[in-house]
Amino acid sequence: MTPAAAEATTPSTARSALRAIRRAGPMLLSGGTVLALVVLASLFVPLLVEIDPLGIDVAQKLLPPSAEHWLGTDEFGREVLDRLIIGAHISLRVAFAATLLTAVLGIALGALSGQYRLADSIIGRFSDALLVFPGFVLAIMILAALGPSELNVVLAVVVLYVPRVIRTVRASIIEFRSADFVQAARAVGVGDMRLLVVHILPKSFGPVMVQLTFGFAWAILVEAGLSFLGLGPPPPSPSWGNMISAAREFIRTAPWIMIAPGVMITITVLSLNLIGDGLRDLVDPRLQGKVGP
Amino acid sequence: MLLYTLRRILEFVPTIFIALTLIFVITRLVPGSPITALIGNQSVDAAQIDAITKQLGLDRPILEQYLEWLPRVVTGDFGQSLFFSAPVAEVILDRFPITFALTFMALLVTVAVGIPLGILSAMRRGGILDYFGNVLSSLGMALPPFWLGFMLMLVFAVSLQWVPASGYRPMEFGFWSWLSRLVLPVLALSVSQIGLVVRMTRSTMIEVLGMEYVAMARTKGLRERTVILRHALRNAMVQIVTVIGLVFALGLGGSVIIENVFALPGLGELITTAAIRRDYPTLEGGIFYLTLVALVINLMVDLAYAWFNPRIRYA
Amino acid sequence: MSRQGVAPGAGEPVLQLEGVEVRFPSPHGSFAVVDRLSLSVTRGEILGVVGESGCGKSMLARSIVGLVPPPGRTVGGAILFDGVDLVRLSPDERRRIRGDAIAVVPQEPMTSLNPTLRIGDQLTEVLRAHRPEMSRSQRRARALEVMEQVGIQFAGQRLAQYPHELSGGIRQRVMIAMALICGAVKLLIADEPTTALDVTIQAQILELFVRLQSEEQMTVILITHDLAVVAQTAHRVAVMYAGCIVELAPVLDLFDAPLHPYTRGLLETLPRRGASASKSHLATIAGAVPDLARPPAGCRFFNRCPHALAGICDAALPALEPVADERWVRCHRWRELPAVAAAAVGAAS
Repeated sequence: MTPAAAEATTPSTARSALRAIRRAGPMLLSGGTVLALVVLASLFVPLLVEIDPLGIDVAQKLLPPSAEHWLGTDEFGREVLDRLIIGAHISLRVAFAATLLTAVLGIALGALSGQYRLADSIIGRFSDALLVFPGFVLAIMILAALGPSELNVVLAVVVLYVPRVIRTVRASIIEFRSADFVQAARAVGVGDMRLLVVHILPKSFGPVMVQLTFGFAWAILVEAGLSFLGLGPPPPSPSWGNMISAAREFIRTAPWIMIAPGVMITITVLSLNLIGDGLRDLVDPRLQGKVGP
Repeated sequence: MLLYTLRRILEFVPTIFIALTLIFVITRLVPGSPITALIGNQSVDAAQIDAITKQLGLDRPILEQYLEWLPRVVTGDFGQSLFFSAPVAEVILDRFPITFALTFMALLVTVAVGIPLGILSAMRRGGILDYFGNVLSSLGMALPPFWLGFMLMLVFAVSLQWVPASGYRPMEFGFWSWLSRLVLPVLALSVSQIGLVVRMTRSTMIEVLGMEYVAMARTKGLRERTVILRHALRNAMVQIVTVIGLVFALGLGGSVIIENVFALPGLGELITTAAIRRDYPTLEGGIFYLTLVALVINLMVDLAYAWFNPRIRYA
Repeated sequence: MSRQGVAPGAGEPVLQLEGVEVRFPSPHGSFAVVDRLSLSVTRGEILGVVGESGCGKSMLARSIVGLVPPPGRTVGGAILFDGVDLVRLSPDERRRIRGDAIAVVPQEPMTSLNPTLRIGDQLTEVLRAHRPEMSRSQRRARALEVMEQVGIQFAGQRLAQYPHELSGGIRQRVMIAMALICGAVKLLIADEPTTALDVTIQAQILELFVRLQSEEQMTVILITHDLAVVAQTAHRVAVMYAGCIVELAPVLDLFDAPLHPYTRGLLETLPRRGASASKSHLATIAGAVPDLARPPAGCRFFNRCPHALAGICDAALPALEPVADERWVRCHRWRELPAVAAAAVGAAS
């Protein structure tokens, strides 16, 4: 290829990046908006309106949705809407803490195993071993051992998800370690640690962010599942999973108690997955259709 | 191929040991004695505590426990269940057919729906089918399976009354009677798996359709059907087979919760019950059994992968 | 190499392109990667098509076989093959011609062979598609025969092997065997057939092309960015730039006296024996191909041409005009670039 031809390809790369943004934009925007609404509602509604997720009023129990009780009431006469808003707190808090911890541990351990051979064989063994179990079963085992609590749910999610992040970080470090720009930096005497932190790790930022976004969504589902089995934050804490669990007795008489939290989980997870899809399209435009000559 | 199979089976052994060791470590080395957790608030006399301690071998050093436990467990002996007065192995084998029927049927549904939908989405990229496939798979992956189970129950069992809401009846009572109680659990389990399979199949197929050998197959004047089935799908299958293995493992994990929703007395239900009651021998056995099945499936997937990919077969 | 300037049996066209236009949609309206291109290919000749990557030469090939990758489309013109307009045929009729009367040898023998199928299966499936009456053993016999013809040793063993077990040169021979297997190929389109190969293998494959062309009495369109390849094999050369043919000439004339400034630029990029020390560096053509989504009103080469004249060259697209016998050029100023022009006309007459 002549240099001229090489130059000629540059605008098309820019164009494909533009296309990625145009495609990713709507996904990021819609996902981000819905997620922001859920988060803002859970944070600010309690400040603006009097909310009482634990207020028992037996006279008002199992009322269907109406103008007065927007989403109906549960078996103790508590407002489903109020519990839903507070439940968002718990579900998002658990998932967020788990994601944050996964990120920190995953990046640190991934960097170690990408950088040092000994660390790699030890960490690699452990993550392989963790990936052997059918995911949810491992979470059950951990919670059975540690006992049900919010913190332990966080730990279980971290144990389940951290091997994946380690793999991603490790793979991108190994990919970039032999890249020209790294070799060049090494040649001019940049130290190992600085090389890793300044030059290599930022390159894995994109893929890791994508993975963590999907991980966040997945953590919400796992938390809900564990709560449903009675292994999550113990009642009366109104996590979404707990609400579904408690509502199963009333599925015939008062299905609205169960429908509402499930819809909330679906909406939140869906919006997070949309954000993840959008980020992935931005980070890796190769997944886009190859259009044009 | 034979050599490859043997090598993969040999590699299988250490993985099982790691899995067993992890199970042992997690259940024994956690803060607090399992005994206190086991007993909880119930009033139990000291003699009973002693008996249980002896039975679990908790009075001995941890390494000794491990060395005694491991060979016993490898032969499939997980001891006596604390709540079912029967050996753990017996309890597990009793319940496994239900879990297997559930996950296997869900896998069949997933493959039968997900792979064709993924292929068609890839072939008509940007078309109506692709659009619906995308919406459906995104939604499927966002729905909590257990909640979906209840919603299905609400519609098909409570409102329409087409099938029973929950419970299990062995096949001896009639095939339909058995199947009708599995339809909703299978559906609930399939939906999220289908989402995953549609997406993976679609992206794999798009990648393969862009390959030069597919373009070449068209240039040779082959019929489109031959191009898709013989050239594209055959190569895509290499990836899709791994997805099927992944989905089966996911299904085993998901069955735990679906069995709870529909009150199916399978392995998953056993595991959760054991977890809540702190029945450690049963918990260990159940988890190991599920993990073992997942591992065997993985092994089969690896072999299938090699079968589809000559570069590995002859390596 | 023993080749005459003009192909044997010249005159009778096997392929005639008339105003062929291949367009791709883009956010700024569609753009033509092959722009109203007309060209006649004579029976029995080897026509070289030369140009930088992205000039539309591969799209031209795909348009001829009817496989422009979507969303691109052949939107206009006629492609007359033995007098039949291919553009008007049904998809299935076009499929029947591909791989039979018109065959393609691709650029990358590695990636153009399916890694999961045996060589034998990939060869004989062409016969299964085009000669359904042949039996399994007949197909196998034909495969062995054609493999021998392209110089593959141990053909019987090769049939059972997978692509990754073969070397690059043998893979390309397999691709050529695949093109010949039906035994009825009239037009062979070779798209950069030697680009992915070692230099020594390259020469062998090119020799094979020349030999087969005379053996099989077929017509070859040889697409390449490499003028050296063209010099070794082709009878005539079409130089493409930004979707258009800018110069068309018998191969010796083109090398002796290039008329279009772009052709000259291309020739200067070739390393030359005996070049003076001061000029021993490789020349390049500065600048970039214009954005085809908004093609310039004038000459497409305007922004890179050393002889460009504002007011003339950027006013209108020059036509491809006949210069001498068998010679065509698309340049407003070819007459004014005297030394070369005189030599060209002299050489041609």
